[in-house]
Amino acid sequence: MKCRLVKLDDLSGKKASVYSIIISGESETLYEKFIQENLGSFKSELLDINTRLNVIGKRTGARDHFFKSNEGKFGDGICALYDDPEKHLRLYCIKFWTQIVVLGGGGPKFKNIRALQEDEKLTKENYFLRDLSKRITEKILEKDIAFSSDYLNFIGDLEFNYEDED
Amino acid sequence: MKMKTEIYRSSIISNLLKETSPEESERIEKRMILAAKIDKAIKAKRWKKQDLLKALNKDNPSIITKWLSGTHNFTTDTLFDLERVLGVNLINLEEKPQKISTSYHFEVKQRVLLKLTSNDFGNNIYANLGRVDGLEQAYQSSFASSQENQLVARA
Repeated sequence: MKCRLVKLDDLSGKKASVYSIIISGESETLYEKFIQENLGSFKSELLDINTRLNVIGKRTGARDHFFKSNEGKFGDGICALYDDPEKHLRLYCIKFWTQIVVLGGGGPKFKNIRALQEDEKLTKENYFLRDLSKRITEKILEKDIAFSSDYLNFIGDLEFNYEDED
Repeated sequence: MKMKTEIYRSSIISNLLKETSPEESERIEKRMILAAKIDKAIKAKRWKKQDLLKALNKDNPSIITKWLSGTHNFTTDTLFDLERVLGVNLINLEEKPQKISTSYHFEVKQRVLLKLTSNDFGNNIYANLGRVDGLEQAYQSSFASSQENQLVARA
């Protein structure tokens, strides 16, 4: 399996770049899949999430307080866009300062579930991003990925090859 | 290593943006900007969430998280309290005099009384005057042609 990072033109702006991930063989980003999966049941929440991401890209940047931090391991940047307890959807992301957000997938969060690991779908999405974050960090350390001078863009090899491990 | 970022345009995302009404988009944007302003004020005071809670006599830290999430619909009382403890202006209540701009347009015309005698007819000086209906004619002209008028308006 391979995946690559792409910059979402519709949501990115002067304040932050919003990226998502395309898995090889698929035609949509993980964020688009998240929208498609939940459009039927939680459309108003999706409209709100999408608009907030648009404001982040164009007006405010990805300030920490708009996200729930520490959704992964210490220092891996895994977070979720803030969701109210009474809301239904959770969207996972990787954040690099206030300038870059990589949108992963997510799904409905059920109120009777206390730990992430009790929800198979959310666990899968969360752990995929944890692994990707590790791979991005490795590429940064190996200087295969760098940042533009304004920190708004990744520069370098944004394709990740999982085939060696398949 | 200068591989450019792949730009991805999505009809799914753009359609979703279009479906959100401009009024709702503006509300969401303003809530987020307000949250960012409050966060900046907390940081400017070098406060932590606990300091703000203490200043407001509150005890539930999750309320601050909610306030700063950019999704909260504040009451005016909460905003007044935040203004007081943070020393920032979040709601502008001052009635500033409205800036009124008035523009006047003057059309300046000069009324020139021409007294013409029969001898004046045929004189080249009136050649450009146009119609001459009688011995006296009021001729209006703008300042632009005032020199010509002075020339014409001889007794």
